[in-house]
Amino acid sequence: MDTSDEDTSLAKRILRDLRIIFDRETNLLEFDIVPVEDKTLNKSPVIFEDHRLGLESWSIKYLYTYCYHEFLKTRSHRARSDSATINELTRTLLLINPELKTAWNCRKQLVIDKYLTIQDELTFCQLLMRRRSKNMENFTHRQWLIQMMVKTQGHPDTNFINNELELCLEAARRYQSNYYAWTYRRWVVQTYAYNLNACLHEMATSKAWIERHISDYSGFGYRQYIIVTIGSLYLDTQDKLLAYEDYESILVNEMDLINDLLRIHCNRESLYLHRRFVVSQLLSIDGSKDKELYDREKDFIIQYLQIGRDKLLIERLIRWYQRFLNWNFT
Amino acid sequence: MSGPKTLPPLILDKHKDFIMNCAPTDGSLEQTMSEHLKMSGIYWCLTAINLLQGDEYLANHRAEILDLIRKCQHSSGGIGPSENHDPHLLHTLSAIQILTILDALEEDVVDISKVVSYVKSLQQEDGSFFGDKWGEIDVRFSFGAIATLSLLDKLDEINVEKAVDFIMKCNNLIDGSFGSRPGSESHAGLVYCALGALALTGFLDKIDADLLGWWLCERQLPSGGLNGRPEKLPDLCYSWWVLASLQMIGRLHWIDRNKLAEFILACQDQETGGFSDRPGNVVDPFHTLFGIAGISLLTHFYQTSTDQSDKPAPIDFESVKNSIGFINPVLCLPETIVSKKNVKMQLLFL
Repeated sequence: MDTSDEDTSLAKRILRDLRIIFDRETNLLEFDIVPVEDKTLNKSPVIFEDHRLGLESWSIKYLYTYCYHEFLKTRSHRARSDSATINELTRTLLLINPELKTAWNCRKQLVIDKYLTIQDELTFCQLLMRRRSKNMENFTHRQWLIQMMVKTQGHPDTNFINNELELCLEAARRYQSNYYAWTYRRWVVQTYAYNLNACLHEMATSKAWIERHISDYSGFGYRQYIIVTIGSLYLDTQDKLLAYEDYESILVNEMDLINDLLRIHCNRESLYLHRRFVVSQLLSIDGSKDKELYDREKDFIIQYLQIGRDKLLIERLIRWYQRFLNWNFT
Repeated sequence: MSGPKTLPPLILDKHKDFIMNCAPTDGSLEQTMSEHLKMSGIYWCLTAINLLQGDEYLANHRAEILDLIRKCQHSSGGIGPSENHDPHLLHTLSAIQILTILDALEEDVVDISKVVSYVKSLQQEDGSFFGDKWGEIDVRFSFGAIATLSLLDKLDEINVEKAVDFIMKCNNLIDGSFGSRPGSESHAGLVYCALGALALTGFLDKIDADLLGWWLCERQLPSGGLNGRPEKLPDLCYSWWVLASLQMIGRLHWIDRNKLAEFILACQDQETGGFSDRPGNVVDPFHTLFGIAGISLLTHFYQTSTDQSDKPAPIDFESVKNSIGFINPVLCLPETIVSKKNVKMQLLFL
């Protein structure tokens, strides 16, 4: 269905207002759709204040519909498809609907054609991330951009990597258990910061994170990834015995951290699953510690049973130990 | 609220009406905003309608749907979600699933040999698959590739051994579960993808089924519902991803069926039909398919002797047997259709 002339000219006016802002504003901090259901006569739905951009919700219908149909026309070669038009249409569509993969793909082509710079596009991704922090397409696009950048400019510097890591934390703060943000962070570390120093630094950052986000298991999953990575980096750089010793001390410290956190937080599945991980890792480096570990876990369980703490989770832990480590606590 | 809560009944007729009428109005904002999901949307609806025995609907809409699929294939062989959208492996799978349901694979709707070469072209040196030419990697795409080729009986076109190697790199030793890429967090939806791919290639015995089954069962929460990862809220779609995974490894009966059925019933909209992610939320076709598919697994595959409660079951599973068809746990397609295709798949039994 084609939109009426009136709707079209309204959409074009909104696009023009947006264009003016995007052309002159280089430090756009946020974008969002503002719930305003009724249209005010002769007033633009575009709100711009203090580096923040808003669109009144009543206008979305006109703007999105117009841009979407124009976009499809450029795709089927029924309309002019110069870079400026594609940039403007895809930018607007993605502000409203960041899941539109084909629009992201067109922007990749604009980067290849050097119409868009990688740096500007990374900034655009960040703007969208602040509105929809759990959006896979955005992180996928970001990863692609960085791979492009590395191809032409070489390995990114520490400053750049730190910015990427900070961006992950921002996305993780904005959306709990943000799978894509944490997967992206793993990729950044694995690809550009795969060394002992960086990983030990990640241990510190991640400790501060889990202490403040105790029920975000994605943060714990990431920490487990870093711990295992440190273990294998030790093995790569040191002799086996020394590597195991260093790794064990990381794990022992981790168990202390878990015990501290258990004292503060009741009924947290995340802590119990993390505990299983640490115990399994300790056993994997030194099977002869089985008895010693068993005794320590038994003391912990008895203590928690006596004070009646975390009943369901303790029961689950007992059953898991029984089933997978052959530990009986009768 | 006080007093015993009364469970809502299972309203299959309304679900059927909902799913048959859920396509958004042409030209509406809702329709425009969901076009990038259209191919998968059609697959969800057709599978649900088939399970609910809506053969007439399928016959009436067949020509229109085939026409759409025809328009969505690109010169690369890949299929997009909607006309003028870029091709992607997951929408290519959806299209092939739809063609399978409509028994139209032989009708030259799309160029099948090009679909095969498209899928093949996306496999990487390490065995993983790109989702499209732009290079994203995810275990979901391994499943997409393997399921597509299995339905086309062309699995030998890819390097299966390497594909399996990559999938096993996504396996987390601590819980036996799978993440999207090597080292990623365990996630029940990705477990389904990994197990589905292993089942279709005959490598299910590579996994630690006890450890994984245990983790999957720990997804069941006190409400009876299942989450996809620890510390998350329950979501009806995991009634599919978790249950289908448990069925593939022969441990479906480790779940408390009656408690889960209570949660599923609570996710229905009693007025409009359809299911939502959680009780009280807005219903949609995605959750409606996975609600019905979940009930299908609980009805047709669950070993009744393991029901854990003395209370009467919240759903009369015996009578539901006649109104919801068998779902295939690997391909998420009606078993009546899969059995005609003679697709090889391995399942584990306890």
